[in-house]
Amino acid sequence: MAESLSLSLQAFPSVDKDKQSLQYLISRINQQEGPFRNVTEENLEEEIQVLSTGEAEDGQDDALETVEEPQDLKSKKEDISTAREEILKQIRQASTESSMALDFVSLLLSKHAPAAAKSIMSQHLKNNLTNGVLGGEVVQMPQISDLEKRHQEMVSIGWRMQSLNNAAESLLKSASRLEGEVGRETTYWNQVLAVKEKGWPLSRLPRERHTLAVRYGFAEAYSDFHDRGVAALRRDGDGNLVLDRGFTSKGDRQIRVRILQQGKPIASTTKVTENTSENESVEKEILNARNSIFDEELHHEIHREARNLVNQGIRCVGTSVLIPFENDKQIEIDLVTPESSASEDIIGSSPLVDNVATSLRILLSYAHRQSLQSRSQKPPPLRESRNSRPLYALLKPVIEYFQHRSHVQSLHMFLEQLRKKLAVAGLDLAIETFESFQDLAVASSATNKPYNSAIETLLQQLTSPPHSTTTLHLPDGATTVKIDIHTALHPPTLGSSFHVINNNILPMSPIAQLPPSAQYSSPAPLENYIIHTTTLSILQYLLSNSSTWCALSPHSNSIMRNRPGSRDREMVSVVLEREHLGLTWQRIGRLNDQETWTWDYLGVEGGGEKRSLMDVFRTF
Amino acid sequence: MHELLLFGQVPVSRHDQVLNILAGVAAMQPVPVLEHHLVFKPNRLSGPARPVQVGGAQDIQKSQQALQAQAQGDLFYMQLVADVADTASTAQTKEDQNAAMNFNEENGNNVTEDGKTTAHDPDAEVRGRPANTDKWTLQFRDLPEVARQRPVTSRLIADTPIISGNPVHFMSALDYTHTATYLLSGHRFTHLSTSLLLYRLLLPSTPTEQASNPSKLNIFQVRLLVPSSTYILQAALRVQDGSKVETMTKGVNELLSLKETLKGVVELEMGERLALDTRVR
Repeated sequence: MAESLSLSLQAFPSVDKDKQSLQYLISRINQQEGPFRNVTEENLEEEIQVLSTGEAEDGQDDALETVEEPQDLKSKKEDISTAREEILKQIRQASTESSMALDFVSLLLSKHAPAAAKSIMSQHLKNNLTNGVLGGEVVQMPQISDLEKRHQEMVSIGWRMQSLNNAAESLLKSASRLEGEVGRETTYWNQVLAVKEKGWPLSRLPRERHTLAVRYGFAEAYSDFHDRGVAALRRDGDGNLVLDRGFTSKGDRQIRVRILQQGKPIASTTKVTENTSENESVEKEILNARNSIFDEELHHEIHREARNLVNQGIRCVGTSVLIPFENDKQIEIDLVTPESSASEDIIGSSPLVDNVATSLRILLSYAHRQSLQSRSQKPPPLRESRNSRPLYALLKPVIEYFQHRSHVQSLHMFLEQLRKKLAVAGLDLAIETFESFQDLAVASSATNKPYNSAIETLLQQLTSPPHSTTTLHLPDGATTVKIDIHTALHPPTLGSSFHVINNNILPMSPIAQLPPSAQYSSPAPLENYIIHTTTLSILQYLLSNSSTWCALSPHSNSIMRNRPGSRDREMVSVVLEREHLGLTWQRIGRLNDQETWTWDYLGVEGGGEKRSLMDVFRTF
Repeated sequence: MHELLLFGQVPVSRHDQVLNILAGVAAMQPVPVLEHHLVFKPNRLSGPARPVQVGGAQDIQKSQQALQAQAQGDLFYMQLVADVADTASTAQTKEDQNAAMNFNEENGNNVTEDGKTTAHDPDAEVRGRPANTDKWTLQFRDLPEVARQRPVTSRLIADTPIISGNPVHFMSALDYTHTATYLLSGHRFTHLSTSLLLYRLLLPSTPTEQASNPSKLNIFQVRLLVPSSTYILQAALRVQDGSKVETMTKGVNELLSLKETLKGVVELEMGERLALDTRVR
């Protein structure tokens, strides 16, 4: 016996087309009014009368119908013909069914009254079946007692009640389930709304049309990263929002910049400390996903650029990019998970690496901006060849800056040393410097181009090759030397170039005979040039105070005179070296007759001369 | 160079909506466009065609025949186009608008002659400009090719940027006469290689003034060419070499996919070939 009786709870029936068919109507009329053979003209008329007295309005409807009649006469004709066909079909079916019934009855009879049966049997039956294969007998119905009947009724009522209870229970269960579902949906949609209110663009997931997705990627990113900048907003069991970043996502990544000294890290980018609590909100997760995809793209672009900058000593080892820095150090840029970079807190940090990381990110943003701008221009005509994607300048400005800075710093150190040496000897050397980064404030405020915001002008300035100018006022007071340092990583220089212009207002001095300008590609010849020019300037300074001396040539560091009142010739040489300044007096032709004074930049403690150069010179 | 084109119409009530949709499709902000067009008509070579001389050197005869063939062939209108949007239509702030008004008053012009048009017209927020800084382009457009298989309008084009000199003098030296002036005002988008231009045409309200110096135009006194102020959406794609079938097919496919994308927004259709006829009648 079945354990439970299942009652089917049907939905409210909709209008069934089958129920308006003729076949159905006839059977219904049969059920309601009895068989058609009872229908007579009289009782139909009676019925019509009863109906018409009941509803007086029917007459109006008729009138309306007659008005409409001519209009759809044609369609009515069609209706009639289809109805006729339907009736004929039904009649044919009825005739078949009745003949079948007749055959059945005759076959049943054929056992007891073969002669009578044969007369009504169809020919087909006669041919195919022998008489009397089917027979019938009268059987008595089993007697059921009243008690049993009541029992059975009780059982059936019990079953029914039980199943009704079951139905009610399942209804209640589904109601509570629906309630829970509504609650979960509400939390889901509230969270979705919160995401939307934060300004994240929501859309449909491109490949799953029924899933909501949030777009956090960057519109101008390279297609790989652009396509990955979408995540589905799914609902977990409790109705909370879950960010589904797909299979391609390998978790959050971060750019890490480190300084390596002999392969060992000495500084690393500082970690942004995040409290990774359990109930981390979805917005934060989206934000992390965005930062991660940005850093991944940055890493990709840096690698692409680094491969083209091998001439600058940059190497790509595995996933990291190594940039040479300050002689024995290297800057390493790689992509790591936030956890692995967090474990390196011991190393210590330096503002330099943080600044490198920040500037690389700013430069990628700027590259995105520029690509939007170039994309918004009028498109070039379609050609056969496809343009390859241009490289972004991310590492280039950073390397240019480092290179430039180191050159400028070493030049300044050299000049400062020189100045101190000369000062000890009582000579003046004035140094003026101008850096291209100095006037950024002016540049950023003065923008009136409509499509260029202040930030873009600023970045244009920052990414343009750096240059700085140093002006030296040499000791003779009449000569200035201007040193321009440009650093650009593109041909022809592929690095720093030093351009020197000397400007002398005395046309007859030895400096004036030097070429007015010179260009060098490394600092060493520049330093030699400065030493030489300064030496000449000191000689010029000495000459200007004494008329008896004369200069030899622009390439010599000596001056000469015929000693007054004697036939001897004297020579004074100025020797400028890294550590000291020297003055040598000698009488030409006599090897032993010479004297040397030196000025050390440490001053008198270094064991140098106490008097100034001029005072020593005047003693001759 | 070849140009592939599709056109669509946008009623003024849907202009802003379509502008929004196009900004989404192209993933960029609309770029305002204001172009100053001058139409020039060539003069036919004067004098009746001389009868072919009998005798003489064959070379002379040949060159004369070529000249005559040229004289009897089709002549085409040419246009000088100046892009004035850079200087003019970027007036977005209030101060700029005020500056524009002041500029007009200084010149002794009425701000608007046809006040209604300007009030409705967002493009009238343009300001005055010095005429000699415009960059002119000489544009030639051929009669569109007969559409056989290509479901887009295609025609030969030639654009020559004019770097220096007076373009109007140049045209008159070429024996072209200035016949009409109009302004094209609207917004431009770039979607892949396609340039989408949503524009309408404006006519100067005082045509007589233009005759003496056509390159100068007061862009405040304008009226709409079509009073219903319907906008036209033109999707144009330029192809460097029209004889390369592959590139042309690529261009056509790009335009058709754009048409599919914009289905239900703007119905892009081919242009009527004879309406785009540039021959002189």
